[in-house]
Amino acid sequence: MHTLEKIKKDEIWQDEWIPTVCSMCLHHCGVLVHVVNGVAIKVDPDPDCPDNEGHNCAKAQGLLLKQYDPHRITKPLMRTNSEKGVGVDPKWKEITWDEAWSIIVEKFKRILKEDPRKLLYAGTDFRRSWIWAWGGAVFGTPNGFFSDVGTTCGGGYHPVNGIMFGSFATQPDWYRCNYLLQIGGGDGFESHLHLAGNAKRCADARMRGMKVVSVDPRMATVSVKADEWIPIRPGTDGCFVLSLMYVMVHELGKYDKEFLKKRTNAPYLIGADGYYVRDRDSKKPLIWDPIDQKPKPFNDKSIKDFALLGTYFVDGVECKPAFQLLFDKLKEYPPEKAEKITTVPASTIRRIAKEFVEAARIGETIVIDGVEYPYRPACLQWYRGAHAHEHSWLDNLAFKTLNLLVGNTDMPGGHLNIPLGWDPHIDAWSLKYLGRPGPSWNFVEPDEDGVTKPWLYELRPPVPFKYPPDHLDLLEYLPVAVEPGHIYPEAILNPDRFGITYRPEAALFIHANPVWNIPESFKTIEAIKKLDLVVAMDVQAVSETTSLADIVLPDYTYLEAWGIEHCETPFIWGHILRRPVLKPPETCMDATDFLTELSDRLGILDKWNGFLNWRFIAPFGKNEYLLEPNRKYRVEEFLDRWMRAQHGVGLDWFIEHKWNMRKKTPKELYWPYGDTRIPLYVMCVKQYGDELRKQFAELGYPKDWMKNWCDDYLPLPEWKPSKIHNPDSEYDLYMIYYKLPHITFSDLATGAWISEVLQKRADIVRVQINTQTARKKGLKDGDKVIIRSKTAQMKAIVHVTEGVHPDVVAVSNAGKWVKHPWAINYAPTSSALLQGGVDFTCKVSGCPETATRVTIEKEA
Amino acid sequence: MVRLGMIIDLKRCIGCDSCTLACKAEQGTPKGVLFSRVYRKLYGEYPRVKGFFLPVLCNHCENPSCEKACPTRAIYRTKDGVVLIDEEKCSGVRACVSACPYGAIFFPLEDGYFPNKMTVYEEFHNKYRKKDIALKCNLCYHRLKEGKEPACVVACPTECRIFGDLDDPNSKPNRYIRERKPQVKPLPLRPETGNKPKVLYLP
Ligand code: SF4
Ligand code: SF4
Repeated sequence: MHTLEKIKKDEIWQDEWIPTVCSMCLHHCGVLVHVVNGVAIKVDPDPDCPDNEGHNCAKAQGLLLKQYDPHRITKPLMRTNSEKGVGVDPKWKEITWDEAWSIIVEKFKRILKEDPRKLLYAGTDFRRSWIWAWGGAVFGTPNGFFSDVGTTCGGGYHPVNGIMFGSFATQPDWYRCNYLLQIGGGDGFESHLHLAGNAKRCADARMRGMKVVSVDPRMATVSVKADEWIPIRPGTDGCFVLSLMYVMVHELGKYDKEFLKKRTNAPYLIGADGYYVRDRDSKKPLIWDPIDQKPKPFNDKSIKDFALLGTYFVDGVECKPAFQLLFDKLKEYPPEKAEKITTVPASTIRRIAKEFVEAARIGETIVIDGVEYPYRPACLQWYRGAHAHEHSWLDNLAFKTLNLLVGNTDMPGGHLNIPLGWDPHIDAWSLKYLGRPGPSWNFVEPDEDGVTKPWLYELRPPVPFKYPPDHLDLLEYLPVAVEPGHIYPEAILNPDRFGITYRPEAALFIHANPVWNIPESFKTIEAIKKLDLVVAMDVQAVSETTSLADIVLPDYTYLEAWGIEHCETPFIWGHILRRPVLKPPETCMDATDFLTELSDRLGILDKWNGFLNWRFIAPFGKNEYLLEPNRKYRVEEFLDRWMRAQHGVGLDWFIEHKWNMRKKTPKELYWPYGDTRIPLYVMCVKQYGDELRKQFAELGYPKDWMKNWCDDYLPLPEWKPSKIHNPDSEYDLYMIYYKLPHITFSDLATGAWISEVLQKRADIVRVQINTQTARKKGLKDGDKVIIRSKTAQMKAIVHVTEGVHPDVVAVSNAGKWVKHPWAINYAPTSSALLQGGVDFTCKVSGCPETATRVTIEKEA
Repeated sequence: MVRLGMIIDLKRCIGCDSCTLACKAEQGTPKGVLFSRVYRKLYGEYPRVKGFFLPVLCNHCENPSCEKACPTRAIYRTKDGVVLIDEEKCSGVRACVSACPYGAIFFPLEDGYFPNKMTVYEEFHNKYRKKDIALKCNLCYHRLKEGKEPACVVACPTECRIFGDLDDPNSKPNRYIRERKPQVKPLPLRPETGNKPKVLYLP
């Protein structure tokens, strides 16, 4: 009998299913939480929620025992042990909020007055997007993204999507795709966008016959389910894809010429300097019309055809269509050469190229809602495993280009671009430019050359060039990158290397765990130890980072807090409400309310309210909802005003209706670019690189690292080996690591139920090595080993399997070294083993290298 | 006659453990007890490796060996075919544990999830839990009474668990099979036991 059948009726004073969202990943599925007598006992998926197709993943339940974990803190804590480090007990002492405030305000006030740069802020909590920019926009520190990007984030893939498409993420068109080539990602199977909703969409697609080919160094979930698994050497995926393009272009001669001519800048003529050749009068980029045998501005009405190949002379200057340059570049990637680099047999490369291009049905069309579109039911989808390497920009560019070659980009069946969220600015922009209310698609505007304008600054305004730098993540020299928070530790420990002239003194971490999620954990620890005051807000004080804090502040949990959510939804528009289903302890404080109070005590409340107005409320022009500069608002009051401005309805409406969401229409989903062209030749990146090189030169290259900094600012893809590919007989294996469907943020890695289940899966909690590798090293399944990289060594247990590349040690994200009864200490933490800092960073996208060389030996 | 059961379409299953966790929370099972679980199996030699995920739960057999093994007749079948334990009659003999060929019956450990402290969540269930009795999946019988499907079925993001009356030609499982047109009939695990499971798998 179930417990509920045993409780006497008169003992029950509450029995409710309360709608809210799961907040265990960024995507916020609709759920119903069963609360009985004040205890949340079960989470059911909300059957009506269109975003998650009425289901949930495992994490949604994992939240429950996390809520009741005895390590929950309800009072501010102060460390009494001044020594900090791994395994060092902070000897927490409970203090009052008044005591906490006086310590924090005194220090922060002084920093604010003397030099705001000295505060480091990490508040990119994916469950509260409105607090992300507090550090930069309100406190005024350039160092506002300490925990950003990290080893689990999309990293370099985001700026690539932003530069080329004004988007943030991507998806296969699950409803129409027939051939999915998935490289180093988990979409539809175990991770990345909307696990719950996409698992359903992907399963339906597979059942109707979508073929799946998985390219991955290990047997990922997608590989298990795929029609074919193609193991590959880590970090060579870009080379594999360039070789696919070689086959398509140079052997099969099959690619979507119509698409390239009409919808990309492939026909734009490029001069020897790498820039567009322009019309003398109109200054418009030129194309070559092969019928009239002359150059014409790209938008000339008289164009009869566009040349994609050839060499031409305009005003006596030699130039080539951008596509010809790609064509030439691809010559370097015949399958036989790629085989040596990737370990994928040349015959397999040829076969996959043929399958892919045939599945793309170049030339066919489909009519949807009365509109005729090219029908391109084949898609290359990739994620972090494939591109989070030193040359992330170039890898990402290769993947994007393959999709462009078959013309599947934002076409039915193909590769769809997804914006970050229902961004107030995009929404307001669509009102202004498209003349209709409601959201736009991607943030697309043509530049004066008819190509999508790059949308680079999703999280912050552009940072101008300056030396010495203010930003500890060197954003002064990364004009198109995401925030590489992983550079902070190196900049803090070695400021002279970068010419940094000040010393950071304090940090504010809100639900952030940089020690766990950025490369080279031990360096991050050393950097944090250098600070005088580290304040962390969290629900427990046991994470790798909070255990280094001086003060830990008790936040609300996601079952206790308000929120309005929407993130990277592939097929839905709108917002969904998070409402408190449990009463928070009185001595805890919601993180947003904490920032409001802190702003007030620091005398910058007007800036905080001003920022919230600017970002969320003002874009809609409804001034009656603007926050007054010097009034303290509770988070729910702010959310109410934001919703009234954007949706015309307040929280009371959301409480009744749960969400204001609708499915995207085909017109929003497919080819939202109108006449705007997509850059096959990404000239703006070359331009940024040239500009940067010039600025370094004007300074006279005061630092040695500036010399090669701009090498990857290239407009077309190529493959370069990363440092991890250097021959190294001592560190003979590659460590890769992967994300489980059970854990997104580090907090669930100590979730009791989640860990209990994971511990039953040897393939997950042990490190995977191939049978051949085990034999060579004399290792048996279950052996205790030490994994050693150049930065750290960690204990592990080996899982010997056929399902991993022989060059690889595969590590999951289940490992934690903190003391907690459900921390899986015998699983290694991959971030500790990685090499970090600028040398292991893509200088275009800011992406960290997330593989490293290791060696593995039996524990003595 | 109503024969409640489940078809699990292994082609859809992605081994995400959503069923495992939904069951855990629904039943509030003690530490160490997982009525619903998922295994990953690989076969073949590198690089030609294949695999699948196998979610398992109590099979609610038509000929259950646990029922026969119980000396106090505490295990019984409802008229719609759900195998349940009568908590009043169970005296903790544990004969069922070894009798079940599918490992579906559990005796919980005494301790909770955290040393020396039962959480509010565990207390909620513990207060009403009889000690030293066998525990097993009840196919969420309490939910069925409310017209809901079992928790694992509702949670499963790929909708690979299809629940209903196997005897009713218009039930979800039978309709699913008609539409899916599998090459083989749904199969039980280890048919040689003679237990006649009502959880059947489509390969
Ligand atoms: S996908 Fe899973 S973790 Fe993410 S919101 Fe949905 S149920 Fe929660
Ligand atoms: S929830 Fe469904 S897809 Fe996930 S493991 Fe269970 S049966 Fe498989």
